[in-house]
Amino acid sequence: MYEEVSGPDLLRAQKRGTLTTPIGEVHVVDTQWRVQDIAGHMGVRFGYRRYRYHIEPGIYAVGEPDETSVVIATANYKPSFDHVRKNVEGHHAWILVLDTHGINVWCAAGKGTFGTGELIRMIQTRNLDQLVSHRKIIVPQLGAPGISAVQVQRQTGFTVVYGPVRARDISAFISADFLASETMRDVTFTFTERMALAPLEWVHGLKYYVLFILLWIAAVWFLIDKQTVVDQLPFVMGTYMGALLVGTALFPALLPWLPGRAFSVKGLSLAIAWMLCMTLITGATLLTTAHGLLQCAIILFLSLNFTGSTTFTSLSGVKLETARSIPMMALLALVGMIGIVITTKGGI
Amino acid sequence: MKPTAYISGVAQLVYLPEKCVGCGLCAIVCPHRVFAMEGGKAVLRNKDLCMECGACERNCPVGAIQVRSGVG
Repeated sequence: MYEEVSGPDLLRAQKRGTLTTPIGEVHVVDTQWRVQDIAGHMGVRFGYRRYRYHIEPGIYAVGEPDETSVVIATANYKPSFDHVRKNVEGHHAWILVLDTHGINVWCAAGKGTFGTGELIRMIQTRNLDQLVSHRKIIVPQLGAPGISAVQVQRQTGFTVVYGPVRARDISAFISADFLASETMRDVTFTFTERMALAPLEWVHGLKYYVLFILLWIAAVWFLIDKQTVVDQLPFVMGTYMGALLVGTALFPALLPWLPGRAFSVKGLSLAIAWMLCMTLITGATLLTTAHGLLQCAIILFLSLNFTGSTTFTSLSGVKLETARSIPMMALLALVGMIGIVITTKGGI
Repeated sequence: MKPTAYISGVAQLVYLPEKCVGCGLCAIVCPHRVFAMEGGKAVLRNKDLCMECGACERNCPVGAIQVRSGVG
């Protein structure tokens, strides 16, 4: 999963030569984003090279930093690095890239790879104390779950200064002498932030969708007849794609406005709304209702699945509502599938 | 309701104010501003906003906070 960096250097175009420093040659990178950077970011959002989009850990320079310049730590997931280098525009800085195996800061911090041990290791092995005369290192606030500022201080002499949540506040943070506003420290989950997660969820569901359609075709073709496949295929393909889109795109979009706080309640509400619309549009028959029930189960599942992609759900809450939702999901799926088996032959 | 409010009464966060030395790190690192500094000590603003990320526990120098944290 984690390819050693003998693959293509994803920063080849962004490198602007090297800087000679007391610790050796340091690559200088520019602050611009190229088409390939933007394309790469979009690609990983759809799952393309998602685990192979990382850069070599180490120290990089932006501008013409010297021994008084700020040091900013980040992960070796390329978009993390790209956001940092872009947002230090206007300052001279050193960027210390930790080996997080191509994972972003917050996820890696939760796992422990953007961790105290790794930060200490990088500070020590790269001789940061010879590169800068000050003893401060800016660590993104969302690295905090993995970083013990006190331990880093004790073992390296460097003081961890927690920077803003979002890279776009880095410049203002530095200009304000490392003072962060409350807004800089508050994690949100805006519409745009929610929708950024939808493509990947949809792509993941697509595999199951294709499998399901193929299974349905095979079962109906061989157990009933070809004509039933021809008659019902558009309905099946259309409504299950609809359910997939509802569960992976509409659910995140409407999240704060769906009823309740539990994702299972929000999800079930949306699922029922979908089922009502779908059966009304396609004609409320036993067959469409049976499919509707199975689609409810699918949407409920996708909604619960989304708890793992948010910026605010607690593990305790997720465990609780997942356990409580399993009977409902099983019931909907079972009744739906039995209904499908009974009603498909007659097209009723 | 804050947009990022989840199920109430489930977050497993324990804070012992008598241990607090007022370093302020918990108030800095929390992604949902659960802690605030008042009169030189940390106070719990709203436990229901806690997502159990563990940043506060990791950074508290005196072990005044315990969180049941998961990978996220």
